[in-house]
Amino acid sequence: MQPPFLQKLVDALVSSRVRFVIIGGVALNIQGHARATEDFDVCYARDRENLVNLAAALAPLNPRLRGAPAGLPFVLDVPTLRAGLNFTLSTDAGAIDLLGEVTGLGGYAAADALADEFEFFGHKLLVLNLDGLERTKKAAGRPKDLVDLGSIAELKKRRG
Amino acid sequence: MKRAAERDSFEVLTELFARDIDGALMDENLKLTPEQRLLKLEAMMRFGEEARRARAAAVPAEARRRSGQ
Repeated sequence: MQPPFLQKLVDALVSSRVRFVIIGGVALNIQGHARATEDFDVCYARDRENLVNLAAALAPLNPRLRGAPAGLPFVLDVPTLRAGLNFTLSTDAGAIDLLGEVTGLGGYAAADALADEFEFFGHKLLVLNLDGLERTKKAAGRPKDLVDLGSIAELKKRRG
Repeated sequence: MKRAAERDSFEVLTELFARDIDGALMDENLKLTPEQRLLKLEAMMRFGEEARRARAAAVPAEARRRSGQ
């Protein structure tokens, strides 16, 4: 049986020693609110070593720009990562959003400071905590973020 | 003053959305391990993909009526 796609993406990032924090809908699910999401959002560190590792991790998964016309030339390498900041990608393992900077939060250092460590799929992984998720949701302010903010408030109450 | 008013309305909206949350479902979810929560999310995602495939081949009610299905 194929490993679940989230596990494939996590395995790829971890095996290439990418420094990242899981954010967005997947983080919200891990923190305890079950809701649908269709992509895997991570905030990644922008130092050169991490960009090299990130490009190497995703290369075998055939990354391409999500929603771009078929045939549009795109190579996810270090110069591309350095020239851009946030990328919405499709890969052979599923959709992944790479965020160098998260609205309402900042870059990797800020995400790391508000990340809990969880162990799953055999890896220790950083996941944005409820305070961090709250900040990003307030900054985004879309209707779906208001729903998420309601859930975050309830989760916080349950944790005391 | 305007910022304070904006913050207040934001909090009011959040509270309104929080009111509709099924606390029992949330409690059940919190009993799962983080890995079990991820596997549950994967199952949801797979269902979503299957639903998209099914929608592409779906027969609308009007077409069903016309064909006597």
